Amino acid sequence: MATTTITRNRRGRDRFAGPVVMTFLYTFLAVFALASAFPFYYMLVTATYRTVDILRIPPPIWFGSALMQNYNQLLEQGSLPYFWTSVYNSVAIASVHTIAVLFFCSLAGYGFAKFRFPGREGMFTFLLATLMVPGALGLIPSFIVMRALHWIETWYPLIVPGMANAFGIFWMRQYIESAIPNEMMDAARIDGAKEFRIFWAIILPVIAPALGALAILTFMGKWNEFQFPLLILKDQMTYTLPVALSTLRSLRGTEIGVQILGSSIAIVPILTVFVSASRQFMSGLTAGAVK
Amino acid sequence: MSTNDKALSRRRFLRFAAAGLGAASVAGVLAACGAKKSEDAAAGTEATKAPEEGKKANVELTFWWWDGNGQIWADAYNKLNRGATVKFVNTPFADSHDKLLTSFASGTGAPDIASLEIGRIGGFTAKGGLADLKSAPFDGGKYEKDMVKYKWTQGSTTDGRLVAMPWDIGPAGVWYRADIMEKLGLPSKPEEVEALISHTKGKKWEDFFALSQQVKEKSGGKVKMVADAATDVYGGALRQGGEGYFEGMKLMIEEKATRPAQLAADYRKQELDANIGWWGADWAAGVKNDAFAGMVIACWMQGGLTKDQPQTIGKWRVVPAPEASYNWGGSFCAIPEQSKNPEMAWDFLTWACCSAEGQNAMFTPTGVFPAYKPAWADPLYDAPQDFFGGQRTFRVWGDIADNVASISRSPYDLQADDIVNAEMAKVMKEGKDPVQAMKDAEAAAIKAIEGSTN
Amino acid sequence: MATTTFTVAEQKAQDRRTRRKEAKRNVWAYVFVAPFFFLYSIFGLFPLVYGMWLSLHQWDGISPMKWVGFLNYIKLFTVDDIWWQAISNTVWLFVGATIPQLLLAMILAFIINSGYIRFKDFFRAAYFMPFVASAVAVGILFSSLFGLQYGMFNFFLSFFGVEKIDWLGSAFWLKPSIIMVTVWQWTGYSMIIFLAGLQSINPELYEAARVDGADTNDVFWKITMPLMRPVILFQVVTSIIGAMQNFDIPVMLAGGTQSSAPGGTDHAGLTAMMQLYWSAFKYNTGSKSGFGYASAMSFILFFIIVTFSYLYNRANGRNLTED
Repeated sequence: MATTTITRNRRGRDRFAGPVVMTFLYTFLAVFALASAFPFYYMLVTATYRTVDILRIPPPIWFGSALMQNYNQLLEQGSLPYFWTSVYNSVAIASVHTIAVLFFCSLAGYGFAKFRFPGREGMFTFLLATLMVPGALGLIPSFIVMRALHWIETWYPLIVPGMANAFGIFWMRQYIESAIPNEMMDAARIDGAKEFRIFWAIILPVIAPALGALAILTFMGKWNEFQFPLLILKDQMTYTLPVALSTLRSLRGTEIGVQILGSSIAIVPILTVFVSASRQFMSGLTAGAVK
Repeated sequence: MSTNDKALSRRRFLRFAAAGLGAASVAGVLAACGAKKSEDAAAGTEATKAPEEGKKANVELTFWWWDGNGQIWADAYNKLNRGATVKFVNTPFADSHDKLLTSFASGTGAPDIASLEIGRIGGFTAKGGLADLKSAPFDGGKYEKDMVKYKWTQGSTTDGRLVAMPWDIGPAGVWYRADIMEKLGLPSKPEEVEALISHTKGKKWEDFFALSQQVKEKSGGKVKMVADAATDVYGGALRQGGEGYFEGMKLMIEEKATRPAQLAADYRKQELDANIGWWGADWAAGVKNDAFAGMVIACWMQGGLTKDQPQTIGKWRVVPAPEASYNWGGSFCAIPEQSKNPEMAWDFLTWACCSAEGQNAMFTPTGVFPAYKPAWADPLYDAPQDFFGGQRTFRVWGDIADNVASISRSPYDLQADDIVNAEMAKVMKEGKDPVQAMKDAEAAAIKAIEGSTN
Repeated sequence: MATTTFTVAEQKAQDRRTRRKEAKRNVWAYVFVAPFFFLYSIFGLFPLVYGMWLSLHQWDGISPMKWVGFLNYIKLFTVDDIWWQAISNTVWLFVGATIPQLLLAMILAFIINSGYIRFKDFFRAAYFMPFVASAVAVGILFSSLFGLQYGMFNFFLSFFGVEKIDWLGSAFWLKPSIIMVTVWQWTGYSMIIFLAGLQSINPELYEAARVDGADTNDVFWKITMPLMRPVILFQVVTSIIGAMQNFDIPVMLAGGTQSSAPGGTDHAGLTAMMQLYWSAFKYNTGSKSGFGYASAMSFILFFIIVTFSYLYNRANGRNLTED
């Protein structure tokens, strides 16, 4: 019996992983990796050219010499006085927001996933419905709320409203539901652990992969958020990076190299963090998921 | 002091306790952001308190414009110590007016001085939100005689209030590259080219076509006269008819746009343009590669070209357009009713828009052409321009501006523009019959714009 | 007999205790989910109710509001061709971009997770790269890549004898261009979501199945897919929501300039959200645009999103709130 299993097992594996199949798989992956990475690479190349030199025949495929010129223009007084300030603003806003989102969304996601409280279905349906309301029109009433709270000209409007959001809660609930067996909490309860402590000490470490993904998505979403900050921020010293960069887009055309450089400076650190963190978030954690 | 500390910490503790353990850490960071803001706010109240104490009044004014050059005005004005400090905020062009509208709709956040562009001015003059610059504390009426006439009308409402002060204008004409024309063995001196195509010599668009044909032939099709007929030909011919598609509430798309559309379609059909869309990287590359010998556009192109295409400096020349003078673009300054310091805002606005000093402070480095005519008296306007190979182009622009027919604006301009442009694109890209296209555009506009009539 | 009675009473008491314990525990559940409802009632519900109120008015944001009842909705349903064209474009882009993007992401996630592949970190990072680029950067970048005369795509195609394609200018090519960029930018994002789902499946389950003699096919259909369903459901529903509110990429590629309309030639790239935003913030005047009219649009859009999500759930035979 055991022998057959192993044979079947090996056969399955072999069938799946034969050299032809493997070549096909790697080719498939590589083609898409190239398609994903090339425009990104081209973006970095673009950052080293002046607008007039970016499009030419043949196109530039290696880095140009205008990097410093673009960088100086990025910092130039009058054109974009507060570039690094805006980078700082974006980092601060996105980090604080992300930490809050991770906490509140995993908490609520856990609540929805693992408790059978009266009204749960209705509340969750409501939560999902809020996800479906198109956002653009909230802009004007949001302004009215922010005025009532005296939050105009602060960062609160960018940090607070989305701290516990339907997307994050939905995500955490789906994950917690499938990844955490009830026995885990039951065991802790028998040991006399308090509910919040169960969440903090037992659930949180286990859902790290989902938290990691949510952290990246939330951070990126906040980092790139444009319309609302644009409308609500009144002082250049408080501009976030996308808003600051958009001032480079003028009526008479765009400084392409400079804008791309500004965006790239922002992207490279994030990507580095992602690459180094993703290993921790996404691999090797499966063993911890269910015990 | 210690009791104070204790009270503070207890209050903070209570707040933290209420917010819950996890929220507390967030609240801590938030409090930090908040603290920074309240410091700023404290500094602000100090600044507003100051004037009560003595003559050294110094209120802060915010000024929104979509061009980093706004700092030029702020710096120049602040040096004068007239009792206000202008803080310039660069608001991206595509969204600047939306941001202003949001401020009005939510009742908060408008600047002390807002700038408005010609394409959007109609939507703002027809409504409220902007102070009447003719009634107290303002006395804007006296500047009417000094301003370019068509501009003054645009900033005024139908009931005669002035809600937006003319700032700059966009006198437009035909630009051409003397070096390319010379290389092709075509006339390259302004007087010669003017004699061939300009309305000042009685020439029509057909004559412009003829010159374009020559450029194409002499270069073997490698060089065209302009980049894109939809902008260079249609954009010019339409604005010669007064720009916009309305007269009052009467839609005039067919009347105003059919001939311009036909001209552009013919031009494209004869392959006289390079078929390179404006405002993007493709266009910039076209200039760099000498793909076209000229353009039909307003004076404000000079600033961008100086910066982006320095290799073309000295090679450009400009002559009046065929058929008529016209205007393309330009802006206004307004004082929102929300402004807390309308007197000082007015002081800045009149210095900036209604004095030769302010207007020329902006014009000299940027080429933003003043609507305020006394500013043109400056000797600067007679100086030969290096960018135009020594041609005295500022005079040319001034003469063009003096001859522009009135331009009427309506609150529906942008919507009508977009409807027509969508049809116009079909003409240019898919060869749709221009007469039919403008019929369709008019029908679509009547459907989309309530209250418009045929 | 006596013993039985005692046991039943004991059992009842036990149940009561458990129930009481559970009720006490549930108080915590309310505390856990409360922040959302608290924040939403301030920052979500008010705007929503206000929006409903607005949708019954004509308002340009500056002049006084004017009550029009259901006139905005009636106009939208009866005369506004552009709005329905925008809706159809949006659905078109959802079918053409979002669905392939999801399928591709799922395939990539499965392959990367399969255990047969090396360089996982590399591939994951490569696929995720486009997602970190901001919409502004993506817009500028692709506008130049798509350039008609000097763009890189046309340059490469010229080697294969392909005529210059007017990617962003022609009504025919605009949608495929938007689709390409959307798939490029969002596949990595979806893949991460799917991957996180796959990683959460207990590997012991696979081993147990193998021990029981299941082959790769069985494992895939009997273990992976059922366990992935919540994640797939999540991703599809949020993608429907996202796709129906498609805005950034179309605006960046065809947002209109001084000489072109938003959505490009024949409004081919005009999405519902674009038309809504333009109506509210840019056209803004009269009884067929402005904040009231746009609010009505947003409720129609809301209704469409709910319908699509519901249909997907029905097809999936599962309720979202079910576990």
